[in-house]
Amino acid sequence: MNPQNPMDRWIERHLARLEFGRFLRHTAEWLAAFLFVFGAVVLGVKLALPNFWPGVLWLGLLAIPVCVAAWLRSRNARFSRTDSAAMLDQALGAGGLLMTLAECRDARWEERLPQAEAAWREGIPRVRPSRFARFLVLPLMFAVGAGFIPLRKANTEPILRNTVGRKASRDLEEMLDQLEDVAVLEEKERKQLEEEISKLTEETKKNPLTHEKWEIVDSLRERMRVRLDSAALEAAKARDATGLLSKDLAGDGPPLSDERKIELEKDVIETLRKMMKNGAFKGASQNLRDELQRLTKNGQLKLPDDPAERQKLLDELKEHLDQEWEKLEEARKKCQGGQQGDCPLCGKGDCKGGQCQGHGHGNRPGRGGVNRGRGDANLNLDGDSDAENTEFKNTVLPPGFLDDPKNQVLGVRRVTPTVDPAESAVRGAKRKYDPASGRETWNRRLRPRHRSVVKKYFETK
Amino acid sequence: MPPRKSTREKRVTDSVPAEVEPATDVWDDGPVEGLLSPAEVDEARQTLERFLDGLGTAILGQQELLELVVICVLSRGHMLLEGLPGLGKTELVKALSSLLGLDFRRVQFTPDLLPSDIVGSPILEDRDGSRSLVFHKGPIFANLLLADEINRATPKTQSALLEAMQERHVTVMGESHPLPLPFFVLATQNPIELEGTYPLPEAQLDRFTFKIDVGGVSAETLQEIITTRRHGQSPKLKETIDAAALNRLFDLTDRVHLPEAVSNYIARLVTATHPERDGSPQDVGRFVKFGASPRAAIALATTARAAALLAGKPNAGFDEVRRVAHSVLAHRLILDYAARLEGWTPAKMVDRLLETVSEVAREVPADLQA
Repeated sequence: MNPQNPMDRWIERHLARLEFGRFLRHTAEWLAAFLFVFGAVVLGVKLALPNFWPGVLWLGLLAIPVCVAAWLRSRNARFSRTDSAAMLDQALGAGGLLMTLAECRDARWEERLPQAEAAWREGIPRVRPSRFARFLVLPLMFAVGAGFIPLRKANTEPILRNTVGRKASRDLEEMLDQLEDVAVLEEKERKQLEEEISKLTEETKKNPLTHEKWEIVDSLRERMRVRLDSAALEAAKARDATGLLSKDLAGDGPPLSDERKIELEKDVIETLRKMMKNGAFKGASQNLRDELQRLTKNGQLKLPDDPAERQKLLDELKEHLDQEWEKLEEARKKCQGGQQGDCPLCGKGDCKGGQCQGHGHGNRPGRGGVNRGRGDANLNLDGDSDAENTEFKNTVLPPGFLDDPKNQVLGVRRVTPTVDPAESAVRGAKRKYDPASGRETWNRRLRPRHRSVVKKYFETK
Repeated sequence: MPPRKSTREKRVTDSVPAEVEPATDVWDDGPVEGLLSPAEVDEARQTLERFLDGLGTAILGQQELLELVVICVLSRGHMLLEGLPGLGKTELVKALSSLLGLDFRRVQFTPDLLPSDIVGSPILEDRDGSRSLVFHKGPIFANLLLADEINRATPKTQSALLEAMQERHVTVMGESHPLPLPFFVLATQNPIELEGTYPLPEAQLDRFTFKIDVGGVSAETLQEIITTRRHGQSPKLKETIDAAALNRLFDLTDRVHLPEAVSNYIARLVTATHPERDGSPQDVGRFVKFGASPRAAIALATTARAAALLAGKPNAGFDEVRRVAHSVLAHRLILDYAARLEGWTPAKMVDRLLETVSEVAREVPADLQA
């Protein structure tokens, strides 16, 4: 074969073009498959194995061996020279002469072949890369799209267990902080609460809260709330008493009786004593603190007798008590989690004028009533009134109750509480018929006329 | 008195006509070196044009038919002409014999024709006081045998031609008698008269290189025939090609190159006629009962070479194969009854084959095509 011969050169060109076309075809097909697989792997890594990102992108280099394999594949099934000559013969319309001359060289007949270069060029098939690119468009979009899928972030934070118990402990600690900020706790009580809460916190880290632990959590929470409420009430009471005394001294408003004045003065002194003991005057002005220090003799606080001096002290006290009360109110709101209202008695927010409208009695756990509450109030099923319940219990009136001009004060009785509110918290209350007492409720005898009531009460609607 | 010879020892004398040229080795399949030169092709072309002109003088308006006849003669094949009476089949053969200057015999096939009436028979003769069986050659011992209305003879008589057509000799009483070369059988048959006819068996049909359907002529041609031939007599034809020139044409035909791709096409075309082969067209699988034989492939190649020489080419191409495909393949395809019901004919099946089988074994990939 003479390589310089134009016919041979064109046949070789035709053959090379065929081979290139086949190579492109195989490459496009195999690359399309590879891109689909590559995209799927990238997608899988991004969604399931994020630690392998972006190392998985190195798999893209496998496209090179894929192309090499496609080239080898196209070489294995390559066209023969006979095939190429036949195709070119057809394209030129040579009637078999080109095929013949490709097999039997004869210069006499080669002149009969097309001599024009353009005719031969027309016979060479054209490679259109766009045709092969069509194969790759969709797989390429898939692979690139897989690369843009957001990486799934692995949760590196340790898994917290018993989050509910921890939160409860944290809430208790925050409540205690609030109580310390407003200085309503005595040192002994503060240490006791602190110790109990820290103990509870430690136990919560190890084990989830049990029923008994939840009882303790509720008891502590209630205890601190009650302490805060009582402090707020006392502050409000002292503030009001200070205001009344100040107005009376200034001759503004209705005059107070001497007994009333003494009573109010005692209230103020008692409240101030407690506040001083708890350190609630740390935030007061230096002048006020000095004045109070001066008035305290032998541990007893006494208001000055001089009217001007008394007036000035009462005004300063009222201002300070106002601030303290506001701080206490703010602390109460925080401790109640913003779920309850301002009323320290019922917890509702619509008790206007500081007067409790009686919400919540019977609706709150442990408050008794006729609803289907927890039912842990004492039951008296013998039909007789309890001697203790024949009298009204002494209750602390809500702030401003006495200031309502429509009300007429018949008398105020000051009674030392017989029950510590903190200890009388619902959770902590001893139950008469708890299982430990040996007198279980179910073991008691009910009168026939009460049985239907009890039965109806526990019936499921 | 000389001893009497036994029947087996009887001498059979071959009475070959003196005017018949001795057989030349036209079947030499040895390597053919070199392509035909343009001069050789031109020489053959001129001779064949004269030949065609002569045939055209006798047979008017049938150029395609005449070219097929010439192709068949160049390929040294036998030809079966099928057509209605009066279309000039016999006239064509007579004109052929006149132009070629070959020994021509005509046998009118009838139902009572016997094989010995064709091939000849030994006859007891008394020569110089001794009797011997002398073989008297039949009409088959000619260069050109016209078997007129061949389907009227019985299969027994028809089969008398089998050996002669394939082997170019006949065997009588164990003695082979070579036929003069070239030897052509040109048969005719009428497709419409079925009563009293015997359709040619497949083996007999397969030996005919060409089966050509002789069709009618146009009105212009008929007018010319009416004008020039008052009593239907053909013009006197002179010998155009003598034996030497014919042998030369045979030689040139053999030297026509058949490219590898073309031979591959012929092989795939013939293979595709077999319904059981993979890659055969769906219609072949449905309607063809038996496909073409290897003899058909050989005939395709030979006639394609002849067609190429007639076209003035040193090589056969795909066009030549397609040109002779109908004449070579159609009578070799045996269709089943379903094909008849569906209206398929062998010619239609060949058309389908030519449509389906690609010329080049591996075509240009679709993505590279324009």
